[in-house]
Amino acid sequence: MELFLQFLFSGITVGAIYALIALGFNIVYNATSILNLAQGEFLVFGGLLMWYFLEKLNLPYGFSFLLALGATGFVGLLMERFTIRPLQKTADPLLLILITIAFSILLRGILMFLFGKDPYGYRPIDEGPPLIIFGAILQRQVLWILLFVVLTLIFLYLFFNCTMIGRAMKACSVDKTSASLMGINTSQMVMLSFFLSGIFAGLAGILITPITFIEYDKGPLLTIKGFTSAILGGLGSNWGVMAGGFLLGILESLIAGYVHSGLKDALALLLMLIMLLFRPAGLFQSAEQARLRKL
Amino acid sequence: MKDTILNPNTKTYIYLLIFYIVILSAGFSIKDPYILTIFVFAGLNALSALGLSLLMGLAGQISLGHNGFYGLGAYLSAILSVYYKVPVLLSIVIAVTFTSLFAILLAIPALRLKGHYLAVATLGFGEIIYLLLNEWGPGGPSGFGDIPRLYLGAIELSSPLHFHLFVWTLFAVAFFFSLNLANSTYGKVLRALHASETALRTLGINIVSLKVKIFILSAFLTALSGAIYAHFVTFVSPATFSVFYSVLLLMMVMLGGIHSLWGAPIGALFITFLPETLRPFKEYDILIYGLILTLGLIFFRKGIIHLLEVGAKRWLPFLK
Amino acid sequence: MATLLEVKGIYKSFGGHEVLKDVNLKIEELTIHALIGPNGAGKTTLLNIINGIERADRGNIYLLNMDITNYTVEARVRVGLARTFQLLEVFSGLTVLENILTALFAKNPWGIIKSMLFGERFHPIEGQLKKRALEYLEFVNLSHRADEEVQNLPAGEQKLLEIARALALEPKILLLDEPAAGLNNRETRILGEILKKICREKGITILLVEHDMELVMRVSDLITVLNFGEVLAEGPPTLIQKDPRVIKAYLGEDF
Ligand SMILES: Nc1ncnc2c1ncn2[C@@H]1O[C@H](COP(=O)(O)OP(=O)(O)O)[C@@H](O)[C@H]1O
Ligand SMILES: [Mg+2]
Repeated sequence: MELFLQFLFSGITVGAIYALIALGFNIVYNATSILNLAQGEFLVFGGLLMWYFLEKLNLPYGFSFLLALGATGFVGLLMERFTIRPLQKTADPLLLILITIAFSILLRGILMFLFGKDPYGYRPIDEGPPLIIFGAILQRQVLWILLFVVLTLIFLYLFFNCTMIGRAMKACSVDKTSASLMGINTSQMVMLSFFLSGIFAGLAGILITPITFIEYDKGPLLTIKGFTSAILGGLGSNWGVMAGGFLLGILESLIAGYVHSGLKDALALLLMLIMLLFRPAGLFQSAEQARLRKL
Repeated sequence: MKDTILNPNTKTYIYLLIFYIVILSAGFSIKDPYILTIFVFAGLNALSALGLSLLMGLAGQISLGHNGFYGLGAYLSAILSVYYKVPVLLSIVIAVTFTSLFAILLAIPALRLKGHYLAVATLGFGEIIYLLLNEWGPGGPSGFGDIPRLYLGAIELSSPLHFHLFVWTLFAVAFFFSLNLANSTYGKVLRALHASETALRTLGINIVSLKVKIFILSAFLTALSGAIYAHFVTFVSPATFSVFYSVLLLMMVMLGGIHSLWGAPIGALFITFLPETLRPFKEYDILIYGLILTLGLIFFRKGIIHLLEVGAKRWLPFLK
Repeated sequence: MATLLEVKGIYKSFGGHEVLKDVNLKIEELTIHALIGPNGAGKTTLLNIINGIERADRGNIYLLNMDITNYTVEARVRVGLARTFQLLEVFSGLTVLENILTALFAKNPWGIIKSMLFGERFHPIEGQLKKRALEYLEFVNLSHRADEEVQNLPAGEQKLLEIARALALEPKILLLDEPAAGLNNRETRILGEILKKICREKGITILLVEHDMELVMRVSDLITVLNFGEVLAEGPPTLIQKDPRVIKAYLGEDF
C-alpha cells in the first residue's frame, strides 16, 4: 500500500508535467494543425532560465518565476514569427514538421551554449519538510504543482468561455475559414497559440526542476511523452490531453515500480505507437468526434 | 524543374560515372588515413541518406526513425559475427534482410498515418530501438567491440582505402538503381503520392502497398549502411544510433537538396566533413547544426544541388 | 437501354447533420446524366460515396446489377469507375504527360524491382505508354502542353487534364465534379463538345455534377435535382427547366 501510494504520487507529479506539455501541443494543434516538436525544449528553457534568474541573478522567487514564464512564452512567439510563418505560405506539411524539429535542435544548441551540459536545480517553492501520507512521502512541491495545474484549468475555462479572444480562438480551431470570415484575425490566433504553449511548457519546467533537476538535452524525450499524452487523451480537447498526461505519468510510474524501470520509456513509446495505430482519436473521444475537430 | 536530375536524363548516368571516378581517385591520392576514414563515413552516410531521400524526396513520406534501422543493421550483424561466429558477409546479409522484414512490420500500420503523425510515430520507433539497445544490447550503454572486419572472398578489408573503395562502389551501384527507379513511371507514381494520395487512390493504385515498398527499400539501404559501419569501426555502442542520427540524415537530405537524389551524396559529404572544418567549435556542434538546419529550411530550400546546377549552367554552358 | 449504375436508398450524415436522405438514382448506359442542385445539397458527397472515398451510412450502389457497396476505391476502379474532383487533384511536380502515365501505369502496373533494374529508358513498355498517353491528351486538346509542369497550367486546362487522366483508366462510367467551374465561355463550349465525344465516340457514360446550367441543358440527356440531400425532381432538360420546384430551390438560394 505504501509502495503503491509512493508510485502513485510520483506518477501524478510526472503526469502533471506531461499534462502541461500535452496542453501546449494541443493549443498549437488546434490553431494550426501543426505538432510542435519543440515543446520539450520550451520546458527545459523555462527550467534553466528560472535557475538563471533565481540562482545567478538572485532575483526574488516570484519575480524569477514570472520572468521565466514570460521569456518562454516569448520564445514561442519568436518561433512562430520567424520559423512557422515564413513557411506556412508553402503549405507543405513536410516542411512545417521539419522546421519545428530544426527549431528544437537550435533551441537545444542555444541551451547548451548558455548552460553547458550540467544538470541544474534550485530550491522548491516551499522548503518545509515533506508530508507523510500513509507512510508514503509527498514533497510539498508536488502540491504546488497540482495547485498550478488547477489554476491552469481554471484559466483555460475562463479564457475559452468568458473572454472575447479566447472565444475567437475556439472558433478558429473549429473552422478557420468561417472564423476569418467573421472578422477574426486568424494569424494573430496562431501567434497567441504559440505564446500560450510556450507559457504552459515553461510553467512545467519551472515547477519540475526543483524535483528532478534538468539539463539541456532533456527536451526530445519530454516532447515524445507530451505527444503520447496528447494521443492518449485525444488531440483536440484540452481536458482530454491533460487527462492523458496524468494517465501516462501514473502508468509509467507503476511500470517502473512493479515491472522494470529501464523499460518504462520504451513501453510508453510502444503505447504511443499502439494508440496511433488503433485509436488515433484517443481514449475519450470517438473517431467521429475527432473528425469534427478536423483531426 | 525540367532540369532536376530526377527527370529522365542520360546525363545523370554520366554524372554518376564522373562522380564515381572522382571519388575513387580522391581515395587513391589521399594518403592521410584519417581523412580517408572520414570519406568512408561520408560514403556510409550517403548510402543511408539515399534511403531517406527515396522515401522523403521521392515519395514525400517523412521518417525520423532511420536511426532504428541503422542500429538494427549494425547490432544484428555485429552480434551474429561476434557471438554466433557467423561469417561476416553472411551476417550482413542476414542482418539487412531481417531489418528490412522488420521494417514491414512498422511500415504497414505506420504508413496509414500522415504528416505529423507519421513523423512522431517513426520518431517513437527509432527511440524505442535506441532504448532497447541500451537496455538489452551487449555491453549496455557502453556497447561492445572486437567485431570482425569484412572479408570479400579472401581479401580482408583492413585499411580505410579498402573500405573507401568498397563503400563508394556499393553506393554507386545503389545510386544507379535508384536513378532508374526515380526516372521510371514507377518513380513518377511515387512522386504523385507526394502530390495527392486521394487522386492516386481513385486511379486504382494501392497506396499502402506503394508506401510499404518504398519504406522497405529505404530501410534496406540504411540497414546495409549500418551493418557495414559495424564491421568498419569494429565497435558499436547505442550512442551512435540515437535519434540524432536521423536528424543528421535529415540535414543531409534537406541541405543537399530534397528534390534530387543527388542531394543525398552531396549532403552526406558536406555534413560529414562539416565537424572537421568546425573543429574549434566542437563544443557547439548542436547549435551550429540547429542554425544550419533552421536557416536552410527557411532560406535555402532547394539545397546545394541547386547551386551546383545553376553554377554548371552558368559556367559550363556545353553541359546544357 | 440497360441501367449502368444504380444508387439505392443512400443515407449519410456528418456528426448528426444529415447530408443525404434516401437518395435514389439510376443512370442509363451511354447517357450523360446531370446532377444539379444548390451549394451544399450533397452532390460531392454522393460522388464520394459512389466512388468509395466516403462510406454511406445506409444504402447500396450497383454497377451493372453487381453490388459494389463494399468494394474498396481500388476495386471500384477495376470494375469501371473513374472520377474527377471539384477541387483540383492533379499531380503537381509532374508534367502533363506524366500525369496521364500514372493512370496508364495504374491500369497495368509493374513492380518496383523491374523499375529499378531497367529504369525508363531500357524498359520496353514505357515507350508504348507515352504514345498512348499522348493520344489521351490529344483527345482533350492538350497535347501541345505535354511536357509542361502541370502546376503551370491554367485551372481550366488542369480540369481537362483530370478528365484525360480519368479517361486513361478506360472506365465504364465517368463521374465529373463541376468540370466547368473556373472555365470561360469558350472553354465551357469546348468542354461540352468533349463530353459529348466521350459519350458518343468512346461509349463512356457520364455522371455530370455541374452548376453551369447552359452546359447542363446542352449536353445532358437526363437531369436529377438534389436539394438538401433529397432528390427534388428528375427529368429531361426541357421539363426540369420549367419545373417550379426547381426554380424555387435555386431562387431560394439567393434570398
Ligand atoms: N467531411 C465532412 N464533414 C462534415 N460535413 C461535411 C463533410 N463533407 C461535406 N459536409 C457537409 O455536407 C454538405 C454537403 O456538402 P457537399 O456534398 O460538398 O455539397 P455540394 O457538392 O452539393 O455543394 C455540406 O453542408 C457540407 O458542409
Ligand atoms: Mg460540391
